[in-house]
Amino acid sequence: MAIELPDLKKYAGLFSKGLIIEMAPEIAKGMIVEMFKARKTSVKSASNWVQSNTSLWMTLDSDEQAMLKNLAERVGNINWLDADWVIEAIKNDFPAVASLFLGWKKANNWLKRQVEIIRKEVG
Amino acid sequence: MIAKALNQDISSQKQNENEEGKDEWEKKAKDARSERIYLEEQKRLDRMAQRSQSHDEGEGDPLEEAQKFTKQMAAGSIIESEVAKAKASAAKATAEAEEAKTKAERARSGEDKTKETPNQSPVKVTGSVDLGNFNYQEILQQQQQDLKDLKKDADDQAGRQATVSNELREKLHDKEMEVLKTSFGAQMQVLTKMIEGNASRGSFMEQYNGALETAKALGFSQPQIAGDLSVQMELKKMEFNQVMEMKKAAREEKRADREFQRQLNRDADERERQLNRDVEEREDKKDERSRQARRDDMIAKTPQYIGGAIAQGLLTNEGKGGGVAQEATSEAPSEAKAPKGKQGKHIEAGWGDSGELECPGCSEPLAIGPTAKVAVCANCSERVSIRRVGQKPSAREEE
Repeated sequence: MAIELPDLKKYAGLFSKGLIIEMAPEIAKGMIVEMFKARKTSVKSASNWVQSNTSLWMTLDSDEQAMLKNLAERVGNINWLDADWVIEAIKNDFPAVASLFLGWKKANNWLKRQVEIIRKEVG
Repeated sequence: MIAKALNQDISSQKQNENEEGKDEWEKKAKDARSERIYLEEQKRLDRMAQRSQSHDEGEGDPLEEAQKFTKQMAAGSIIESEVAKAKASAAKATAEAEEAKTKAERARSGEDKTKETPNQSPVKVTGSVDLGNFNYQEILQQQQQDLKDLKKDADDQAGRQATVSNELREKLHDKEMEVLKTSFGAQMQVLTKMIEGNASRGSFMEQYNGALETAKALGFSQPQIAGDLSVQMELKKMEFNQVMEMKKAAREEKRADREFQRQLNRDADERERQLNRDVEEREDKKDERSRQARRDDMIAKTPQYIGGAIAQGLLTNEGKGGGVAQEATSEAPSEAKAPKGKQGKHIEAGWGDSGELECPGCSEPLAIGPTAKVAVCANCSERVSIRRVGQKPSAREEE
């Protein structure tokens, strides 16, 4: 049975949607890493964020916030987004920062709070 | 006289016995004959009475009459045979009676003859022998007892014979041992004599000297070795040859050693080459694996790269990296150095110090927070405890 063009388009749309849902964590991981890189995040800066209890969501500009919201809308379910996932996401590119979040309890708590805020904002 | 009187007594006794036997026989014969005749007559009268009675009972069935007649005929024949038997027995009894009578008469006539001729063998010995009572159980017991006695005797005799046999065997062994001892003693004596004879010959040199003396006496002259030049030349030549052979052997040994050493070196080189080949192969495989891992990682991280590209694109399009990025850029050069301390399970850091150091497990960067009590490696999960040293500031925030 030959697939007609409109159907093909529909199936391609479904495929791309499913693909995005499936790959959303990896895409979000790439986005976070890139954001950290853009801000040249280091142990010192991360320590300052923690010490001053800086809101991570507020440091993001409106486009980044819109992008995250758009991604969350497309994916639907963002239960995978938590502090451990963020640490795992930045572990390869920022091992020292990840180590800071792992070993310093205050930093870990701060990260959990920030992740909860982001989830509320995009959810 | 006495014999005559004895003969007369015996003959009178004999006569009396004969007369008594004759009377008894006659009486018995008469009694038997009269009894039989009486019985036969009685039977005949009974049969006659039965016949007359059956005949008077009237005319019946002719078949029954015929059967009765047949039975009567059979009974008659039986009766006749019985009568014949009775007659025969009566005749026999008569004959026996006659015979007894004859015997009695003969006995009487014998007595008369003895009376007439008393000198002809008047003594006749008659009598009987009492064999007694035979108790077979006693006889059997007696025989068993005899058998036991015989067995006992046989066992005793066998035991005695065995004892005698053992004694004889012991004696034989003793004799054999004596013979062996005697022969051994004789051989020992011979050997002793031989040893004594040999010992008396003295040592080898004495015997050798004795032999030389004997040879000299017989005209043998000993050769003078030292004085013979040809022999000395031969000896020198032999020594030279020996030295040459020794040198040759030493050279060959050295050559063999050198060859062995060369072989060892060749083996070592071969092993080293093989080892190098193995290392190269291992390195090649390792590189290949790492390349493959990178390719796999690249493929696996494609979505991540996509996400990164999206974010990067957004950031560049907007042209504003954010205050945080600038802030981070300004802060980056002034990043605190790692606190001093031992890199191990425990490190020492001042109060409020933060920074990075190498993980003791995997050498990856390890971060220390300003108030952290422990540092955890993100790569290998190694935990390093932090001991704060120096004066504790009271205003610092505690975890």
